[in-house]
Amino acid sequence: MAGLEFLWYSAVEAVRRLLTGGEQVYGVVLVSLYVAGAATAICAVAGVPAGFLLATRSFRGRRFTVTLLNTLMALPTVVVGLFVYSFITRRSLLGPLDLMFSTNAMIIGEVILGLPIVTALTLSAVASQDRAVRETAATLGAGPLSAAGAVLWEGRFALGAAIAAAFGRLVGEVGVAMILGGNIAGRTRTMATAMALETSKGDFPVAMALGIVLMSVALGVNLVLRFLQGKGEAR
Amino acid sequence: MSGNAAALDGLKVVRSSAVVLDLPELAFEEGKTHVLVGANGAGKTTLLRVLAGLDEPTLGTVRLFGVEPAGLSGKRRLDLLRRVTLCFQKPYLFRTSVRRNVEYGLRFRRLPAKEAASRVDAALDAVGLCSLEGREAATLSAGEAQRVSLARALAVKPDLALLDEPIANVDPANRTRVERAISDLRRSGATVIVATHQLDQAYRLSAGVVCLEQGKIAPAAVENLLEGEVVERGGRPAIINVSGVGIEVVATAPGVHRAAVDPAGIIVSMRPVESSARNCLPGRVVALEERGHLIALTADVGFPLRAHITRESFAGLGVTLGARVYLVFKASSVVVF
Repeated sequence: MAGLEFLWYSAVEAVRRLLTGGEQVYGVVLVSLYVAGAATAICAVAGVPAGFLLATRSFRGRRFTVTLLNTLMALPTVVVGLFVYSFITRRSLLGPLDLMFSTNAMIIGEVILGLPIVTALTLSAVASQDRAVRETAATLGAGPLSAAGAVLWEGRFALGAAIAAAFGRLVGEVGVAMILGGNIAGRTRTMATAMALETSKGDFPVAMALGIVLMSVALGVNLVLRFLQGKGEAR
Repeated sequence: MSGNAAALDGLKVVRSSAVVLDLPELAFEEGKTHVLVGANGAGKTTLLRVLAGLDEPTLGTVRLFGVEPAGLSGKRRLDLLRRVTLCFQKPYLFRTSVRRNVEYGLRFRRLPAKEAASRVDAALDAVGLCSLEGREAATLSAGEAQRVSLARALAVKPDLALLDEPIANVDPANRTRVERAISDLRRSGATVIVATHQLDQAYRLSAGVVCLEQGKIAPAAVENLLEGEVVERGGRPAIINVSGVGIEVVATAPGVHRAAVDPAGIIVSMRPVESSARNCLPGRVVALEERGHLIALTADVGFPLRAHITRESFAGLGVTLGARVYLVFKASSVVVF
């Protein structure tokens, strides 16, 4: 009974904290959205063209690249954190740039996490329809550039889904944010790292409030994903 | 004399070490409808794809309107290929409305909105899809999709239209409409090359039929191909006027038709024959040709008509060039397309 009471109290308190807001809750939400949003934008700009080229060009080592890409999709976040850390720590190669424990360092790490996702999903979206779209466009008078544009436009829902999937993975990850951001309050603390901290501190209601926001974001991303995938399959 | 819309010279297409197309010489005269007939795998689609510039031949040259696209690059190649369009047997429709699909080719050409709209309206009307213009293309049936694909081709007003089995999935109610749209396309000055596996459809569309068999040109599928108008239809049978000569056929719809008479089904006689056969045409022998165990005898009965007879019959009749003969055949042995 006591356990249920605790849960009930925490849930009510979590809702109260959400409604009263404050830096403790909304500050970390903003940091999370900013870091994941910026990293996703970079992944989209680099990953969509990369995936398109991988799908439409043949070159030596293409199969290996695709296999590597699929492997990188399942990269553990702490491994990426450690990898980037080894480059940006003060004694290392990029130390003078003073990136350690900054949102920029977190964005770099998250780009490494998200890029394989956007690239691989773009590759499969383009590869599945490239020939039919490209040839149809060509028979209607499209030049190579217009035909490539037609392929991307036809795959727009799948590309949107790829970008949404990457954002979904990045917004809730802990490893990169913790190792490269350092969980500094008001600067690099994200929803996921704050939840870990508040839970260990015993402030369960705040952790729960952040959990509700994170779940809402995840739900929103999933709704977008489902909508885009539904659009893409509607043929 | 008009030139050729497309001409092939020493064309060979090899895929996985198998020769899928081997055409030493073939030309498609401008402004006409040509039909490629052949079974599945005969090379029809490959030929259309090569003509559309989608596939490169392994050997040989392709000329479109006298120009080799392989020798061009950039805008000049694009300008040449824009005179050609290809409708696939299983067309890809873009993920948008029917109307936007038909507009697609016009957007690449940056046509003024007003002209584009009127072209799209005309194309949709030609294939009977005006009522579906707002529908999402993804929701169409296979037959409707083929009609959208044809409308898309009509809208770009090509000089050479390549149509791969354009009626394969179209429902019977709309087949005549699609065939009429193809005829109208030709009448507007375009050259049309249609691939089909249906012989009757081939001859309904054109007398210029090229038969393909395992990637090579095969002998014409029908001999004694005639063209004429139905002049009398008093119940059964009907009479088709071919170059002023009336030929009795089994009842058929009014209008101009193509028909064929199997040379093996024609009896050659030195005098008029009274029989159940409805056609007994007098003429003079203009050609005699050996074909294995048979003799191909061609008589001018107002138009050339060929009959196949055995060597024994030939010897028994004592036919010579210029001799007067009667060619006898039943109305039911005339196939009307």
